[in-house]
Amino acid sequence: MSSLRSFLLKLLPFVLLLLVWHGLVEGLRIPSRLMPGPIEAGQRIYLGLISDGDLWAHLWQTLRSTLMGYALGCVLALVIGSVLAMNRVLELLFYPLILLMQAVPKVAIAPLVLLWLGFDARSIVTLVALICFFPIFVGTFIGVRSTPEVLRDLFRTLDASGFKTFLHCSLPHASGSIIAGMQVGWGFALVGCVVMEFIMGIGGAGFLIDNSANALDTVTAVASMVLLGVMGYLGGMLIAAVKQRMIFWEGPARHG
Amino acid sequence: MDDVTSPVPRWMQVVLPAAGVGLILAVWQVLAAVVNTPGLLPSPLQTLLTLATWATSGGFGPHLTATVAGALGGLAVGAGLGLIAGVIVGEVRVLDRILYPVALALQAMPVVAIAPLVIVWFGIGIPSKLALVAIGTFFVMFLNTVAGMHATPIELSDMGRAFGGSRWQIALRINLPNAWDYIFGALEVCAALSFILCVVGEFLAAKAGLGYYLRAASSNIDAAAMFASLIVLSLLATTLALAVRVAHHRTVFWKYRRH
Repeated sequence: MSSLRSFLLKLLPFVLLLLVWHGLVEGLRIPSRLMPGPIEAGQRIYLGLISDGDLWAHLWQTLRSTLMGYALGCVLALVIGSVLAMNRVLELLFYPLILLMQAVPKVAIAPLVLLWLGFDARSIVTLVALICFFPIFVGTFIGVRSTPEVLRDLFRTLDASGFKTFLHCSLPHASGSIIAGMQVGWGFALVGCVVMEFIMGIGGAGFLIDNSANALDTVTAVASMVLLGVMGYLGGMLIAAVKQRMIFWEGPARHG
Repeated sequence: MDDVTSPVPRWMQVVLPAAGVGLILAVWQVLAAVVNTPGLLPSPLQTLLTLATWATSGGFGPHLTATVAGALGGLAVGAGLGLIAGVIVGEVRVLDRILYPVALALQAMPVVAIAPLVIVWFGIGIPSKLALVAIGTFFVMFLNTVAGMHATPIELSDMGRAFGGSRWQIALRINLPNAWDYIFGALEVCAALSFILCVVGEFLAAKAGLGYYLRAASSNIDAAAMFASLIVLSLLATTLALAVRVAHHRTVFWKYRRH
């Protein structure tokens, strides 16, 4: 009973948001070609997902490119982050490159990626991977590097190889910080995908938002924005759930 | 950089990064020579020449000013309003209960997605870039200010109450200074976000600006111009981030005092 009540309490702000949105659009008589109300947007979502289904193709394209780029970025960041954290010489050698990569706003290289790879899903996947690489790399590097010396000593006395020490000691120790990086990276990944779809103009939720806004079909634009937000939110929830399961020892219980 | 896990001689800590810089330039030069098309991949020298031409002719000026105006103007409006709203909501419990979850949920949406709509509302000039940056930075600053206001140790506000401080005196003299650390942390994120959002806005529709220029150069197959403008953009973003960090460490001096 009390869990139902707390659920309703959590829902209350969103109900309020919808009411305020509705009230503003109605009260100020904002024409729906500038800003549709929540009812119109809801009807468009229903039409696009259930009765007509025209939004699925774009959403699916966005989800697919984002996931592919995200997976690529995660793998690269994990491997490179671990190698640089375990090897001081390589770390110093690649330090300038990392600094350089950090300095460039990654979204801005979208036109360059487009020039090099062309109007193709490869461009999107590449940009997404580049954008989400950095937070995951930093999480991996800091996590692996901060493995307590005591633990490493223990593995040394057990005669473990460098790789085994990494796999059974440093990596589990770093997992909390890696997943934190992956949570930030997920948000970045979606941004990268949307931006690339903006400038490529060949399908995807980003293309749909831009295209329908340009045609003053803001109802479709807002509907796709809401669905994109839901996609981002669900993805974030999923990663948070994985975090809870995998790294049970770092649960919220520790904070109180 | 002190590291105990795998000690490296001191000279290597200087030589290796320098070698890294050399390696980047060498690989870049070789790749450029292999590709042999400045339109696709300019050499380091060609990139420098492009920058030098801009510096002397000044033809790049309008793009630079447009982006700086959009990013900094939007940052000032968004972060400023976010700070004010954060202080108020951080203090008033009812507002906090209602608005904080809403803001948190809205922030889950990639903010760049709203860019086309903002352009419909504010036109293709600088105001739309300013508005986009303001919307994006507002939420970051708002959420962090509220979190910072709430992170005040209870003993401090108890002491304020014991000395007869009124509610808003405690909020402004105790909770707010305590939140500076959060606020400047958020400002650093906002600074990075401001240039990104401004450039994305310019990708979509603009009369001038680095994003506009980058996209035009992409269609003209002029990678030298793109490299040069990316360097300018990176310098701008880095300078702003460093300035914020210096201000951060000066303001929150009790935490970042040098030993």
